[in-house]
Amino acid sequence: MIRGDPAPDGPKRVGMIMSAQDNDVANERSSGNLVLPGDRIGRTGSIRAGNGVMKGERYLIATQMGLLIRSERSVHVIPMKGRYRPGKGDFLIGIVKDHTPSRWFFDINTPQGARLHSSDTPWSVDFGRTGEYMNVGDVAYLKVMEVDDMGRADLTMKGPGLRKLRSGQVMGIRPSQVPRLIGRNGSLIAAVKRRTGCRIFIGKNGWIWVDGEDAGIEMVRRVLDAVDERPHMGGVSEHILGILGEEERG
Amino acid sequence: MAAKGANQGRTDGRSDDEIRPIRLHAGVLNNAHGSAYIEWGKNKIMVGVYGPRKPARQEGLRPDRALVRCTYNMAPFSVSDRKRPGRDRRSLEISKVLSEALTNAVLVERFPRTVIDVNVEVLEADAGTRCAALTAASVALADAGLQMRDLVSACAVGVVDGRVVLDPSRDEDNFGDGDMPIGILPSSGEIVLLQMDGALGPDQFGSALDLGVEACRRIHALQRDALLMRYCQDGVSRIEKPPFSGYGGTDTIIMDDEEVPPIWREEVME
Repeated sequence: MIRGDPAPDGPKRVGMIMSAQDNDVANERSSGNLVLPGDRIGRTGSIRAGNGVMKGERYLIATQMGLLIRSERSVHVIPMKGRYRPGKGDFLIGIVKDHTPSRWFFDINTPQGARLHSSDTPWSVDFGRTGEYMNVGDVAYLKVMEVDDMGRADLTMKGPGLRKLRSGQVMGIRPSQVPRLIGRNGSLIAAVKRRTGCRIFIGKNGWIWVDGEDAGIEMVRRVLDAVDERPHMGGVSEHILGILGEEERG
Repeated sequence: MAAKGANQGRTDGRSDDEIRPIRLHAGVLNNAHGSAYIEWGKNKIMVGVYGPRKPARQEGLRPDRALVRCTYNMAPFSVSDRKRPGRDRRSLEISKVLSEALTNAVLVERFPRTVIDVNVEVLEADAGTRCAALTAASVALADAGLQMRDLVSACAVGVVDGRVVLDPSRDEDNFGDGDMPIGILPSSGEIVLLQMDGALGPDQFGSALDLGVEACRRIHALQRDALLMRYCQDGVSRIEKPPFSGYGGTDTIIMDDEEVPPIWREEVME
């Protein structure tokens, strides 16, 4: 059902999804593996419902437009579009929006926003001095510690690699495309870093911090645009390696 | 109307269970999170979706769910007499019923304290705009990547000269005995919009509802096609070109992939 695509990128997308030999996953109306909200993608109880899948009374129902991925134990939908929803343990790029005497409020590409308490930073921040460490507009690489019922995230800056990011710039792609940018075991992003000579931090929220020479940044921008435009296509890795090779020759 | 015999055709020559031609496209606006454009007979409607996002004013926000705020607006040039711009009783009513219908489809509890703005702009109106708007709005919501229980499909049913007819035209709407817009969630068959203007008898109501629900299912097929087309580009897509479900046999529904909006064409070219 899927065109032969052994692309070594992203999560496993093998041509098994809509085989529909059994009754469990039988939805002959879905073309390829793109599903739409309301599509029945299996029977309730037959398989675990993952992201983008809702348990109905009798059927599992897709709740988002995206690619249906079925692993051995669960079925989930990788959305084509949609806003980032924070998850515990996610690493992301945040931009300071506001600060109070003991906290910073970050924009992390979610409608609800996120907060960072001064005790969750590597610094010992005196009460009322948060602005001296980070101020509005500053960028940081953070981790989601907890997400409350309302979708607000509590962040932390304590951990390996977490830090305030100086200079550089932030770019964005669709959050659902982040795994494809990283590539299998980080192979793709490693190649991008190597060829462009840029320092890159990838946030799971779809924001990417880049710093380096102008030419390198320009190349990174082209790579990000290429990834962002291809949520539905195979061979993203090859395409990007092509862009990088081209730049090298040119 | 009265001059026409009971067995004769309708004003525009359709049969009683025929829908006007529909063209539906998803993802036609670049700046909206999701969008759709529908041509339903002579209706032309553009829908843009923004959100979930934090609104400028916090009041009315729900701590446990998102608010779906639909704004239905008719362009001054959408009708033959100039329409005075701005909100009026009718547009407020339609905004309300559309918001309520869409709230039933979107998984609003996934986005607490946010709003989802659905802007409906009627560019040309020719009866049945609320059903066309609802149909396009749900496609725009799905295009925005929002989590939804289902799409919403809608169609009106009217009574003209005692006959139950599907999708009344403007004349039938103006001079008929009554009409009833119906919106359903096609997978479960739940009704999310049901209004009645005029008087329908119990028998008429039953047959009108059956006719309308059946029509909604046909429209659902078009909505699916519009959304699938958005990500189906020959030769490069992971997804095979969708088999068009456009109910062959009748000419009522067309999906014309020659004439597509310029934005869509660009994507195909690329």
